[in-house]
Amino acid sequence: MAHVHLEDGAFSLFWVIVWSIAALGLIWIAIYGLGRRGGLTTRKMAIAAMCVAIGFAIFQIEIPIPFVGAVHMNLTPLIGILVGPGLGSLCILIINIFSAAIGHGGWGMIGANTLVNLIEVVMGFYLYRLLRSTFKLGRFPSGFGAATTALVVSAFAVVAIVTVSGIQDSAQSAEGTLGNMLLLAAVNVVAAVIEGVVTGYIISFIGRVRPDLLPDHEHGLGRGDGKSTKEAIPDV
Amino acid sequence: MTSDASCSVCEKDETEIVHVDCVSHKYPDGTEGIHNMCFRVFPREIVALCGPNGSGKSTLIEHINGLMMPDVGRVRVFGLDIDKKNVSSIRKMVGLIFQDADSQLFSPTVLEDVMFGPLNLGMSPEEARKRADWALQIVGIKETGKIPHYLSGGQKRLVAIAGVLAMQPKILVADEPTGDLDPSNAQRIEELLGALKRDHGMSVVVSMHDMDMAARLADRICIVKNGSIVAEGKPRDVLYNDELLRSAGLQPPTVAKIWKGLGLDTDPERRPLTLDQLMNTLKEKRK
Amino acid sequence: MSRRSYSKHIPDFRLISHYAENGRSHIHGMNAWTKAALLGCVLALAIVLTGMYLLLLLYFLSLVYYVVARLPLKLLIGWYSLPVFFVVTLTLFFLFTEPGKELVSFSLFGTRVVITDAGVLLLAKLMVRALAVVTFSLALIMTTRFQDIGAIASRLLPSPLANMFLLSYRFTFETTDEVSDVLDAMHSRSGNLVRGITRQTRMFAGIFGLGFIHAFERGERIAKAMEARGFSGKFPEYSALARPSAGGYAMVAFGTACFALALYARYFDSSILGGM
Repeated sequence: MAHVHLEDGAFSLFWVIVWSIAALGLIWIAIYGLGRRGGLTTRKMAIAAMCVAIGFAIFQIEIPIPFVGAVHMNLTPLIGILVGPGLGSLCILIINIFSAAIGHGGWGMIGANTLVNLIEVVMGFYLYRLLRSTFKLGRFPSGFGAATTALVVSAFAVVAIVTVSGIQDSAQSAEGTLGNMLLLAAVNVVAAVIEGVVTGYIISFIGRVRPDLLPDHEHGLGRGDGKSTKEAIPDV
Repeated sequence: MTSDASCSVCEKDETEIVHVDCVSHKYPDGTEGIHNMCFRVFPREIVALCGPNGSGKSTLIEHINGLMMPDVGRVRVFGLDIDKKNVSSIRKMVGLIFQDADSQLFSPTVLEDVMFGPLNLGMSPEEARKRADWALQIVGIKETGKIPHYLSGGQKRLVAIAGVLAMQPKILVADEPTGDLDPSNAQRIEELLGALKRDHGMSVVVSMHDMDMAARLADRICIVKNGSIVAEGKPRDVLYNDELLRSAGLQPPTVAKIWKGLGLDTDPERRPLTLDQLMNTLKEKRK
Repeated sequence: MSRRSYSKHIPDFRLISHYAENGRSHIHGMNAWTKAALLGCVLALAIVLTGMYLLLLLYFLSLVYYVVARLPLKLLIGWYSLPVFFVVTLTLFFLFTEPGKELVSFSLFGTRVVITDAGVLLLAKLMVRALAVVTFSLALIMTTRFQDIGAIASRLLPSPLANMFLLSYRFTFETTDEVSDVLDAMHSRSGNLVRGITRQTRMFAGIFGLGFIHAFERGERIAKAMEARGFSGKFPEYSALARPSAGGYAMVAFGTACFALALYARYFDSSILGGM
């Protein structure tokens, strides 16, 4: 999961407000959209909440990667694939609130982080479906492709947000900030590939054990196309 | 004891409070949950639903309080056919305790979790609190301010029961309430279920595969197999029918094994159901 | 059930709730709304203040707040790891590119690299801002009971979000324990040895995949349990969270006044704060 990786105080008050309003607007659209598509049923709400809980628990795990060190991941594109873009948006907002509470990203950065993660969730979901249904790729390549692409795009979204906002107390020009952020983006791209691989394997695993949880299944919870309000029905 | 319960049970009985009337339910993947299931509950009785895993006990249980709707047949509770419109009133009358206690305790503290049901019934926080205190007192839980996560397995189960009791249902349905508990906590739960019938006038439906507990607790036993009730009757009849129990993948209770092993099974009315009854009968015979 | 906290530098909610539920200090007894409002003041001040001395004062006050709450400093130092890491990774490049007076210069792969005073000051300011808020935020959640946090969330968030927040907060303990248990099982069979990227990744993917499957199944069970007890879409309000006391209001008013002053000084008249 990409982050703006900035703590409080990095953006000026103006930009904190701007990104917060933008994020709130998109979240409101997500809630509105969920309401139109049959409402947030108790079941969907509970499942989404559990995805938040497990996503947050997984974030605390250090995965030792040879030659890289250790990485942490939130698996936001995976959350988008499993629960859909609407519910996924709510999930990542709550994950960002939890993260801010423990000092992983600032409270004032929730807006900017939510915008970045929204890209991951929405792109993750739609790209996965596209790769599965249109290009008929397998679950691993679809999961890998969707997650990696979403995370790479979000890494550059971070660059854009920070370049536009500027860093408080920095006298650097936008070009200077951009240059620095592009170097950071390069690191995020490497992390994106790692998380993409993990996501691909997870999707394959879920596809073997509970294929009904995936959006390519007719009863998938994250169906999100508005055509059917039929919820995923569990195996006995 | 009836061994073919599919037709005769469906005759109306004015005293019944629950009637599962020839209900069938299939899951979307084609698995049949229950098939032509006929089941009744009467006032102030404890009914044990006994059967192996996957026999349809949980599916039946979830029909009784409207969590699942039948594909075929109907479920009547206190004379009302369950449908989407009246399901919330049904749930005031039928309390359901699930197998997994952890997933039933979703509020920040024990007290708030037990208050959850009464508040949903429209009570004020003060009334809900009184009801919750009453329910917690019945189950014997004092740690009301604790986060449920930090309770022991037995305590979680008791709090889950309190959460349902606080709604003061007329029928309590419990899905394997002692499944993963140690003997001491299992006994506590068993005694509680007996007290609910005896002291509070509730009917209790309990699914289980512990036949010793069924012998001690139940007024009536239904054997569930392959989605239907294949036999039902009094404990003395059902639990001493080795062939029936084995065909349903169940073991006779210890008491029955001992009684039969000693060659004493000559009078069905004298069959012991508990170890105490067995001991007393053996002592009498020794005299 | 595993109680092992498997990362020393990421705050564990189980440990946080232990201090919140069992701690005894004046801060624990403070009204939750007051604490939340004060966090808002600290956040606002951290964003608006620009003077290094005032920022250090802000951080110092947050630290005092944490210590008065009788919370462990050793834990806090460990938990500073990620915020510090984030600030450093961002400003690392700014250290060398920020225009200012040259402090240190050296050669790296044939290129002259310069660290400027403005770069160091930028790093220091961002660090102090971040840690002031992180310290106060951690102190808040480690001194506020779960039910009060839930009550605040119910009031501040729209009901779909509030419901999800409450449930996910409540079940973070279970899922963390579950993941911990699986990792313990893995370690007990020497699974912690790194045996190649592919194998390592597949192993963790299996653990995570199972975690998500269990999350779905648990969510389904919870939903049934909630519906069985009459849940109609909004968590009921168990008891109203008391309003702040007069002292609480006074503290928040003071914090707000400080923020207003800082805002005025920043954008209108910096001489008010004496250039601090």
